[in-house]
Amino acid sequence: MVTTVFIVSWLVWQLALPLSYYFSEDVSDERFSWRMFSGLWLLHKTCRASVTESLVLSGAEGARSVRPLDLARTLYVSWVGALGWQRPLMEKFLRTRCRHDPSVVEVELSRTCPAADPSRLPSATLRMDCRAGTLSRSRVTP
Amino acid sequence: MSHRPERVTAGGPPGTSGLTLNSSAPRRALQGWDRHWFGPVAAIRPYLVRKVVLCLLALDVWLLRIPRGGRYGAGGFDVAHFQWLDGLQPLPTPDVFIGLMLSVGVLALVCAFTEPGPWAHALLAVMYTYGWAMSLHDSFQHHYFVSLVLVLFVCFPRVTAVELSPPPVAPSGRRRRKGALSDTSPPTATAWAYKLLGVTTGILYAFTAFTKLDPEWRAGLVIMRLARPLAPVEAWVGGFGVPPSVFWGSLAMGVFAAEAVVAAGYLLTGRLDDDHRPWLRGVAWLALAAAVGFHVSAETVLRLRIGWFSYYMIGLACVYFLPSSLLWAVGGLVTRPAARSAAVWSTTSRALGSGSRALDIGVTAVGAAAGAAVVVAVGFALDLPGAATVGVVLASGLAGATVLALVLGRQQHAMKYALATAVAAVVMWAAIAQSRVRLDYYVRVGFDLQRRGHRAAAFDAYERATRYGPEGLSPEILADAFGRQSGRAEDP
Repeated sequence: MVTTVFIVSWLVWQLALPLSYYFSEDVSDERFSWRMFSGLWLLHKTCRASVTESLVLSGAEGARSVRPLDLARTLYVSWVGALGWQRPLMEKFLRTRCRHDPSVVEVELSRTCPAADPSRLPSATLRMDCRAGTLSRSRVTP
Repeated sequence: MSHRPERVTAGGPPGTSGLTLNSSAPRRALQGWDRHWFGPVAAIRPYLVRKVVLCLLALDVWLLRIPRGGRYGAGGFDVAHFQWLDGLQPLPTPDVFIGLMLSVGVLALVCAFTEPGPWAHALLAVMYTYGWAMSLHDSFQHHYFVSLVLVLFVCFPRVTAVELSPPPVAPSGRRRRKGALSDTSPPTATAWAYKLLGVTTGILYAFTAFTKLDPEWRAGLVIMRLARPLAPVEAWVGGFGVPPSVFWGSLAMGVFAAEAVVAAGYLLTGRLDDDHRPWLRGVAWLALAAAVGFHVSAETVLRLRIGWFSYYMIGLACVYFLPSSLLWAVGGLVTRPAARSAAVWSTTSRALGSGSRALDIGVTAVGAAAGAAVVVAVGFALDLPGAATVGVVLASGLAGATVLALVLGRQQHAMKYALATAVAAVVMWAAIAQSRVRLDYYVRVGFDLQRRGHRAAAFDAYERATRYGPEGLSPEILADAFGRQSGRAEDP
């Protein structure tokens, strides 16, 4: 009886987890869905990310400066490529940048995928408000 | 759950689901369920699956995963696969990752050598799974698949070489009682976990085949990028008026067809050993050809950077789809020496045990101490982050387990595991020392440090790399090589 319950549960898990990808809103996360070398993987390889940080200038009230982040000198090389499409990576990286420098009030990540159909993989921006700790997303619609 | 191989009698399969139903249609369904999952499997199949996978796994984690260990926690940043794990674990480091991979490999080989109980396989599954779950650096889906395999190994029947060797052959001319198997028929086992692994693999292939219906795959765009070595073939075929889109699209659909056939093979041939319908054997041969052809192409033509995934899958396909008679013949190459070793071990242990208890304990203690010393020596000799620590930890674990075994009067078990651990450690040292593991590890670390502007630390890493590189290799040469390859967004 226990064995049968285990077998049924295992089979349900093996079917439900990959199937959940096809019902998920986040199509960029193909982990555990057995989607290896998919069309989306090919499109993801063309995606690029750039990050800028907004700092409050000392002395000048409300004045901010924006500085681009040299990702190659900040992150391991494979993270630089993955930052264009791996959402958990994007989000944690933005939070980390907020904690790294207290003068940073906002971190913005812009993702472009020039080779992809914009309706399939649109350009997008993630913005982390460091003081409020909130993340907002916007997509560039064609 | 039955774990020992059993002779199947004419009365039916030894295992059942334990459920009973009264009405006929559900009862027939339940009988079909029981026949499928608890019917007999040639015992050589689960035996070989475990040996092949565990030996491949040990070499895989040492030779392919350790060189990339420097990326873990690089720049003080890492992301786990699961948010809850990110909140729980400290920042992964090369020491932790490499130490874990060394330990996983040793444990995998110990499990392959000794056929321990389910607790050892469970520990291996947990350790291996943490190895990829700790960081999104490792998003190879086949590592998740190997985790599933290791979990199911916990429930595999415990089959030893002694029980399988020599594979019995029915003598010619001997009359058999109708409906009963010969007394010398090969042993079978109730191996529902083995069958579940087959279905799991079939599900994997089914979903990955479904992926090939993506528009980019159907149009041939993905295969065109992956199979660049076939560009001359495209040009040749184009000379006969076949447009590139048709060429690449046909290849893409060929991949879909191969994966679909393999999926069907795994899902339909669960009862290959007790259902002798010819079409089933035909499906098995077709699935084997598709699996081997597809994965050999993946390695030789497509040159996919997927670690040893192809070798795991070719190994699985051979065990699941080949006739058991062939597996017995090939398996004998493993089971006979293993059974002879076990017989020698048993004789030696009995001889030692027939002496005084003090002698028995003394020999065990000396043996375990020697094994622990070998493990520590290997750990320090490897010259990799975390290796010395792992050597000390494994040796301490061995010592503790030996003391426990002596207290419980199980000296023979202690000696067996001490010897297996020492041999596994020596194999690990040989594999790493004879390969580029250390060179690749330190070069990658150096490249990363140089990229992030830490030139002095990069040179330290390059200097260590030169100890394991060819004659004449210098830190300056490596720094120049970085300059030539920098700009790539991929892990070198």
